[in-house]
Amino acid sequence: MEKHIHLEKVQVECKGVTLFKNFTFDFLEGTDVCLIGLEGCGKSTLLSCIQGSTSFKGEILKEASCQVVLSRLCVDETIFNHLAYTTLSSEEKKLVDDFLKLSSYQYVISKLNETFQVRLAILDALLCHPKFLFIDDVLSSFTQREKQELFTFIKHLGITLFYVTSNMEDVLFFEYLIVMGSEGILMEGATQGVLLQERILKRLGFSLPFFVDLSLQLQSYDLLDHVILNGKELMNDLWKLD
Amino acid sequence: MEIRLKDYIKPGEVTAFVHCPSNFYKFKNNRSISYITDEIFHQNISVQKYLEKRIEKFSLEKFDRACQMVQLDENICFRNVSKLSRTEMKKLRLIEALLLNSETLVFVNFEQGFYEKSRNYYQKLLLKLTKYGKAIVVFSDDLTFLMGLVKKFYFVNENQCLLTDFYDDRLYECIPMPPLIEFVKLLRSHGLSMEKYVETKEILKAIYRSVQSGEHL
Repeated sequence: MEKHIHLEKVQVECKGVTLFKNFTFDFLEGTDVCLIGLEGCGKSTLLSCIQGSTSFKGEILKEASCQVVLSRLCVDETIFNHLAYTTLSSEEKKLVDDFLKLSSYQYVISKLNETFQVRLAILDALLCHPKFLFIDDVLSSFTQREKQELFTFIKHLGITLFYVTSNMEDVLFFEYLIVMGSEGILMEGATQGVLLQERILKRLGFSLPFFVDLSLQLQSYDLLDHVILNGKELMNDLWKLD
Repeated sequence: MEIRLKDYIKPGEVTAFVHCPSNFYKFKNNRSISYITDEIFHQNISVQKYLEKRIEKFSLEKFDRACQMVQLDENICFRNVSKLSRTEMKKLRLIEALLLNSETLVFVNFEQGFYEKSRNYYQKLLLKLTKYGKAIVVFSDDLTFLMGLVKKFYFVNENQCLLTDFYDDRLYECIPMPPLIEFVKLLRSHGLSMEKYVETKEILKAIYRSVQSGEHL
């Protein structure tokens, strides 16, 4: 049976401000979820509740292990020392090698670029062998290709991903999308279905991913009759190439 | 190498730097320059207390006006600075800069965490501030945000500061390429007549014209 992490009527109150009133959601093993949300609605706070570092009202039921990545790793020690590399099992060493693809682990972490520091924070989480991984909006320095590779890597490990982002292009990597406001969940469902609620999303202040937006606008010019998410495909369709 | 901001900035203009490592510029606290960074507040005090410590002759009236300007609820003055969300912290830093009336405002990765509506709002606000003679400096690798602010910007590469535009291929060896630029580059590489567009509505019109005129690949 699929394991899940269940949030029941979770909310945080802080000096008269209530965040995500009664947030209820079932994270199911195998279903990767992306979350976007209005500024200040408590996306990061929700993750810290799941992590256990913020107190909340309601209930969080964890049937499987989970890890939360809220920020990059920036410490003044080498990767080798930080990971205690010599103590890792051969399986874990392989995971580290495959994930970092570095020839040396003697780099001092605080001297690395932001992308590497984020990768190391995620690696720390992966080495705890979670079934669920929650990642906050920390991938802004990654290219779309690097993000794709990262998500594929995590998926191959059999880990279910929950990702919070402010980059609308990222939502296309995920099959399920949640839109959150200060009152809790505003919209949720299959990503493409939610994105097609264009007017509501724009009224809330979100943009659409570039190709979804372009496709919809081309539809209004009668140049296209469906949404295309890939530049080459769109070019071929518009200029009628096979 | 270290950037000497005064060599690049002008009052009344937005100057942007892309791919700039943090050790490339130094934050020198100075009354005439305010830095709006994404550093987290750790102080256990209210917003009002924080601002009273930082700003001489702090007035709630001016604070309310600044809150309106940065789209922040004025009731925030009673909240603890360390409990604010990341975007609220950035807005508070901007309020502080506005209340200090600094001549130069330096934004470091300011747009991160904001969605379209707010990003558009802040693009307009930054441009508006230039009309009051402020020098606006933006450090960011988010070219989609910069597209609404500048036509050219400085690309910091191999210890050089190069003035360039959004279609410079060297950029994309270092930072993510916006999908719009990638698409226009693809169309141009197939011989379609596309200018170096930076807005969706421009590319939309160009596609319409191209398809209607029967242009072929």
